[in-house]
Formats: sequence, C-alpha cells, structure tokens
Amino acid sequence: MSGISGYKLEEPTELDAVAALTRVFGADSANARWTEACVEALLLPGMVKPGAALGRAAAALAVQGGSAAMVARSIEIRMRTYYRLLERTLPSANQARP
Amino acid sequence: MSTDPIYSEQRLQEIADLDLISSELDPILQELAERSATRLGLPVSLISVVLDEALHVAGSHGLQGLWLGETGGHPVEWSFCATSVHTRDAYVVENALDDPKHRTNPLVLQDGVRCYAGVPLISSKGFVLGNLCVVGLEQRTFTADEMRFLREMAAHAVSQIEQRRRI
Repeated sequence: MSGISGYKLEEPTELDAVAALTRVFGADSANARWTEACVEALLLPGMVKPGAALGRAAAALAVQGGSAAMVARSIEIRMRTYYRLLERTLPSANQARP
Repeated sequence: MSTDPIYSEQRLQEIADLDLISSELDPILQELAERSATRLGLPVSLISVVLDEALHVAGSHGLQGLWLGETGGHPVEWSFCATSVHTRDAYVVENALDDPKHRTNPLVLQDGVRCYAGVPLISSKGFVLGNLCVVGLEQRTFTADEMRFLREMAAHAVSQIEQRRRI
C-alpha cells in the first residue's frame, strides 16, 4: 500500500470497502452485500486486490442499487482520487491505474 | 452500524431516490453554481452531494483544469460540506489557514483553498443531501446579503433536485 504524500491518502482496499458497508448496514448485511457483489464480479470475497479488481467489485455493488450504490460511488470516487493524485505526484504511476 | 448521520442508510437511500449521482451534470444545477460563483466573485462553486465516504459533485463551476473536475469528487474527510450534515446549517470558513478543523486539510495545504461558504441542501423529507457552496483561494468575509443569496440558490437547487422524484 502506498500513500500520497501531502494528501494523506492510501490506496483503497477491499477492507476499506467492507468497513464502509459495515458503517452503513451493519456487519451481517455488509458481508452479504459484499459477497454478492464479489460473486457478480467473479471475484473471491476476501481476496479482492486493490485497483481494477476492487473497481469491478464496486461496480457490481452499484448494481444492487439504493444506498448500496451510494457506498459504491464513494469507493469509486476514493479510487479515482487516489489514482489521479498518484499520477500527478508520480508521473510514472500510470501503470498502477486500474 | 454507525449513528453518525453521514452514514445513515436512510439518508443515502434518499440521495439514491433523487438520482443525485447521475454521471450527467444537470444543466440547471450547473447554472446555479455559475450564478453563485459569479455573484460572489469567487472562482469555484459546487452543488455537492455528501456520501458516506466521499463528496460527489452534482453541479459545478470553475473546475476546468483541476483534478476535482476529473474525479467528480473527493474523500469525505477533506469535505467542508460534510459539516452541514451534522449541523444542518450554513458553514463559513473565512481563512482556512486559521481554522482549527481545516488548517491541515490537503485541499487547503496542497490546493490552496482559503475561504468557503456553504448552505445545506435539505430535502422535503428532512435529509441533508449536500451543499451549495462557493470556494476561493484568498481569505475573505461573507456578508449577510451574500449568505442570503446562497440560501436562495440552495432553495432553487433543492426544488430542481426534488422534481426528479416526481418524474
């Protein structure tokens, strides 16, 4: 995991996504929703890597609609911000972008 | 499950019901943002939606060429607008470098934000959706007339947003 100096921003991870869902829905519902999203995205819950895979899981979460889609949009924005600022501070980081 | 209104499932559901994270920017919200920035003589204005972990930009003026214009939002912990979700009231920062809450905010230290005035967008169901706000790169005060104008623009924005529910 690499943070962006000055912005105190770390690369979003699966743990971050599940924690966000837990704050909104509680642990049981959060785990159920995340598992469903991972299955839809053909990913193994607990094994989702940062970057493109996490983006696919977030996109699948968005398909659930309602408040889950709002959590998914939050994850997407945090990912977009991280990779955009990483690009700005580290021009060679294009390869890290999902 | 958190009791913080930022994480309220009902509030997030209201934002979803009002279709506030559409990828297409609403031209009327864009116009309200432009009018707000122009009237107050500030470079940036946003119609923001405060999500659980991020601020989403639903309408904006002045973001061309800025990274925020590309990302369409930023992490909620940097958000001046999130304050109104708790207070349900307008929020003003005249000099962010002197503000205990925001003087270490990356938007201040890295991007040069110095002043902010935001008015909450509260739906008819009573949920704070986000803010209509203006942002500047120099410290400044905001007059009562200016805050009244921002409240009028925010009321227009809520009216526009709520029409989506009726469609």
